[in-house]
Amino acid sequence: MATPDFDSTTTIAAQLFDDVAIALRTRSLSLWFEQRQILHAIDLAVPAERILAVIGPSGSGKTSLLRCLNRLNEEVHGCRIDGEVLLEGADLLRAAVPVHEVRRRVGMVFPKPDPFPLSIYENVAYGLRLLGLRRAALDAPVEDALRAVALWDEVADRLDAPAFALTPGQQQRLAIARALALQPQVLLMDEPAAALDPQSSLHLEDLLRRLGRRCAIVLATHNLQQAARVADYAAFISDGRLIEVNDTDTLFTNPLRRETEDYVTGRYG
Amino acid sequence: MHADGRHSYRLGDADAHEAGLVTAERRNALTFAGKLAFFGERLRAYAFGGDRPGDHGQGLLPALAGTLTLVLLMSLIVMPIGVAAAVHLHVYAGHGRIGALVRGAVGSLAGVPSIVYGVLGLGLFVHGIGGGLDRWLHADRLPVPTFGTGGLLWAALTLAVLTLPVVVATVEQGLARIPDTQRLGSLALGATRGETLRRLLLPQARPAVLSAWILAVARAVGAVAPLMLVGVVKYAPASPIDAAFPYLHPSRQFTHLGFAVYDQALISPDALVGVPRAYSAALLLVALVLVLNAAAGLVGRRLRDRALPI
Repeated sequence: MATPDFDSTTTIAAQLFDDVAIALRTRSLSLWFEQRQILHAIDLAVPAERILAVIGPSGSGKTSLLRCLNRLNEEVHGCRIDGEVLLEGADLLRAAVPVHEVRRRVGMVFPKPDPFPLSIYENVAYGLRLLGLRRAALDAPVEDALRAVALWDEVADRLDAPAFALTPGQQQRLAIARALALQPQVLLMDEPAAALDPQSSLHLEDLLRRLGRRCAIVLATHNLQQAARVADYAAFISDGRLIEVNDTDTLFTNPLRRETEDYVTGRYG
Repeated sequence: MHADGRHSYRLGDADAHEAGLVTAERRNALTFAGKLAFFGERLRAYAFGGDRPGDHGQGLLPALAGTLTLVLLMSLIVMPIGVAAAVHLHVYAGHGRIGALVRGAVGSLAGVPSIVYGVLGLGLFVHGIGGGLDRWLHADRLPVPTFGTGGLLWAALTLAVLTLPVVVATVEQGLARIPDTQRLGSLALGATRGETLRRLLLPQARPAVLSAWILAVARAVGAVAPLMLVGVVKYAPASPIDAAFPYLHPSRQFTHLGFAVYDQALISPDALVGVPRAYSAALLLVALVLVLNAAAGLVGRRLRDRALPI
């Protein structure tokens, strides 16, 4: 294992999470793909009903970290995980909770909007149908989810139209509605605005700020302005190591660690 | 002369034999109704066989029915197995040595000459399984074979083995074309791998399954050589489909359009009659493939137009 040329311990601001509940927590979480170690002993707390931004350069392990939290890395061949991911005290990595149950409680939104080739309605209802719900029981939660992402007024009259007919911005909001319909405790968002134009991107940020009061959100992004605009807390990750966790304002203006300062001021690398 | 303008010449048996004449018509003198009747009669002879020297003993309809039954039976066997194999390769054996080995084997199988499959069918299905079934179920009738001889079922199985590689390869390519983000999106919503496959991936692979079926049918219809080893005959003593329960008789021998082409073109004693009949059988065979393809295309368009069911 290559030793980094910086201090690889994590610095967490004092009393940072004193007045918030913690929804999800990792303990010494490490991840390997084949022989390559991607994540190094990450200890991260995700506060409930807040937005935590995970920032860091491309390839630093943001996506891999997120995919540990809903066990999606296990779909990749050659992956090995060590450590704990605790949701309400239960370790998600140990098989006490079935993996599909984990993914219902920890939802995920991907960088590129990629709706299923189904109607708008059926996209949102997809996860609920897996629970065995029938159409009569679906209408209300589907409407709720679409209202939560401010899509209801735009699509209420064409719920049976194919989801492909929506604009990319609408498609991404549909993807969020799809995840929200299952009422997850934590919502993982992996560069959700990566494929959107600036206008849709701002629209999405408004939405995130509202959703952040509904469930815990982990927002992985390399767009620092976006992180600064929407997140309550920010975690800086570099080279698979968690460097600093702080409230967003402090992390961007007065970081505790030199590496963080270099990155947020653009002197990184 | 008859009222409808048709003449019958009464010839002595010896004269007829010498002239090779059985019937004679003044076709130009026929009325419209007479022409229709004449055309109908020739069509009937074409389909069911007539008494002229050139008429195929049974007509071509049994051959058409035999071909169609064979291809459909083969499809029923090869499609579930082929799709299951492709799914297994794609989902479970995608990585690693075994997957690569199986994929390589499937690829090579696609290039094996069809007659080799005929030998396999003869040895494995007809003599092996068929002989075994006879010893077990029909021991009283031996040595007259029931299953231990060429028949529709063995021919369908042989063609299923023959077309399996193309089905597996085509369906697997279809599955591979679906972006992985679709699969991950479904898994991230709490779907199991099986649910993802059933609700999302297989429905999206339906056009590929359809193409696989078209390719399988095209290959199967053209493969006459292996059939000669596993049950095709010139005259089927009893049709494999008839009105007697259970309607489909998979152990019976059958006739086949492809074989009729071969039989008429090479075996027929009279080339003037045989070669045109071979051409017409070939045309019928091509038309059959076209009709099957068009039907598959229509089904495919309906599948694409419809929103996927959940």
